[in-house]
Amino acid sequence: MIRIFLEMKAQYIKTEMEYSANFWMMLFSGVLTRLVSMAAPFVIYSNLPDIAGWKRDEIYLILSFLFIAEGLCSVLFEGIWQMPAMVFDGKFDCILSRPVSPLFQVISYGMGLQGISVFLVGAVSLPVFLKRLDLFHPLGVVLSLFFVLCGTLLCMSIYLMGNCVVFWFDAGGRTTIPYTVSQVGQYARYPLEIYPNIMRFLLLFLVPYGFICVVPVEILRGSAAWTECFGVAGVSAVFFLVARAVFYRGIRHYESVGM
Amino acid sequence: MINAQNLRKVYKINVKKSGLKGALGNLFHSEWMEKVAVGDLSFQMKEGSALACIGENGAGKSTLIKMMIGILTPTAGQIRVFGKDPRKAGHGYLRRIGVVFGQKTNLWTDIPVIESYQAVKTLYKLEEKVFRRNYDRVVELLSLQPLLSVPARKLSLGQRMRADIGMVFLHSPELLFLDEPTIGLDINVKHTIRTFLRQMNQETGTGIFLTSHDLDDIDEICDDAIVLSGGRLIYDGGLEQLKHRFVQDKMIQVVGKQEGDIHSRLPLAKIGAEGRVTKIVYPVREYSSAEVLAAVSACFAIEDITIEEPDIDEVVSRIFAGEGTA
Repeated sequence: MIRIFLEMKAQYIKTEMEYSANFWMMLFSGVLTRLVSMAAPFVIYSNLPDIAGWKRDEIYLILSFLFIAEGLCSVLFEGIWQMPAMVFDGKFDCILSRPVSPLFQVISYGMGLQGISVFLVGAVSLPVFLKRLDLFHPLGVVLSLFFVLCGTLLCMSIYLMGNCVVFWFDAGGRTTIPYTVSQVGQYARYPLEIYPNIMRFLLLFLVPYGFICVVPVEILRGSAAWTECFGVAGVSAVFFLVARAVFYRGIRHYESVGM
Repeated sequence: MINAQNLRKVYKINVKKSGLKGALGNLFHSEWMEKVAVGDLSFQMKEGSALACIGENGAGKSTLIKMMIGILTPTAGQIRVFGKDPRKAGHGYLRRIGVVFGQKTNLWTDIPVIESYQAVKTLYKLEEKVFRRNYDRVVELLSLQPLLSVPARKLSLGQRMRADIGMVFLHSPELLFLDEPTIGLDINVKHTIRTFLRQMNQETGTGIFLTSHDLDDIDEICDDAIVLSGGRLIYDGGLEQLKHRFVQDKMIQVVGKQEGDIHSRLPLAKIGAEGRVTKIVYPVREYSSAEVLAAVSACFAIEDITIEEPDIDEVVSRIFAGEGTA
């Protein structure tokens, strides 16, 4: 199963490379947009000494985790974003008529080219800022890999849940809800202390981007206890299971109403 | 193979009011209307046979197919395929069937056809031997060789359909559901596909359930037919009987000199002569073919004679016009 998944992804990369101009454009634009968003903390910290006691490099560490999770999600699970279109144009019927888990078929479909460069930016900046913060020791690296894993799973679950609205609201394959959700998540680029409580709750437990990037850095810099690692793992696992349940419930709904 | 009992599917449709005012109203509360897509349908399909489902647009054909595959839950009634409920039989059931929706593709659109075939091999966990045998067969019979390295989205409709039909045979399905498999194709491709389907049905005993608008599809592939209209079954039986039941007139063309008075022998027939060719259109309820032939041979010095088979196109348009159903 994992072999076919990787084979499919390899196929998609091959296909994308056929259009070399497009390929380089997408890579370039991915790098550019992420570098621009990294410029924001730079500007802020040239004018302010610190934000809620956080150093600039710690903010960059948050961004690195976010980019890696988003990038991997886009490379590996791009099909989730195409699901609304699949339901609308009937391709989803083909998926349901194959004896293979529909979730597997959805996530293995397609590949987000920009994801590669987003991932690369994160993958380069993560070790750089770990080093600058003196966190580039074995424990820090192992923890970081663990956070990347959880973050990617969490990111996928959020996307999946957001896109599942298609099963209940037929909007011609277009809906802005998943996009809105991922936009809200972008607020988790800064320490959560700066937000009012309601926003913190939102970013931790409703759209749990906080657990993808902020909480890991809190643990690494020592402002949160190391036991919060279980929180990160737990939230990731719970969100994945909930997203999976929502997905299958969506399919059941789809099957009873048809479209 | 398939057994449907009082099958029924009702959709709830959101009724949109027209105009800007209506659209504003829709934002706050929506009205729902029930639409019966399939109503109290009962039929059976024999093992290894080829059954056609005929019906105009919106007659409930696709809904029926989706219920048989198990991707739609019937509102009432029951359906059994291979003796089991498709909704509950799960992946084991899906492994035994194949599905082609004429308007959609099963191929992965961005990757070469051969990679899609390989993916099917892995997804269905096919043995190399079985895969090889089926693969060689479909590639040969559907002339797929030149298409294999092309991504599906670059194929023409006809090429894509051939690749799609080929793909559905790779896992040796026992039963195929084809929803309008030849829609929009040119005559050559249609012919290739029909011949292929017929051959697979006869050689491997693969059951075929086919919906189509194109009556030649049905004629060339299937033996039996069900006819749906407005979600209801209005005919179930052999294709030949279907033609006969809905045909009211037949025509005989005679070439040769007229020697006797045909009018007095067949007063209810319409007779028109053009030079040496005489066309006799007679109602089948009044005269048997033997009577007509006897009359014709008594009145003409026959050089040539042809009896026109009723055209199934005409038959079906009669059915939908509501004639002959009484």
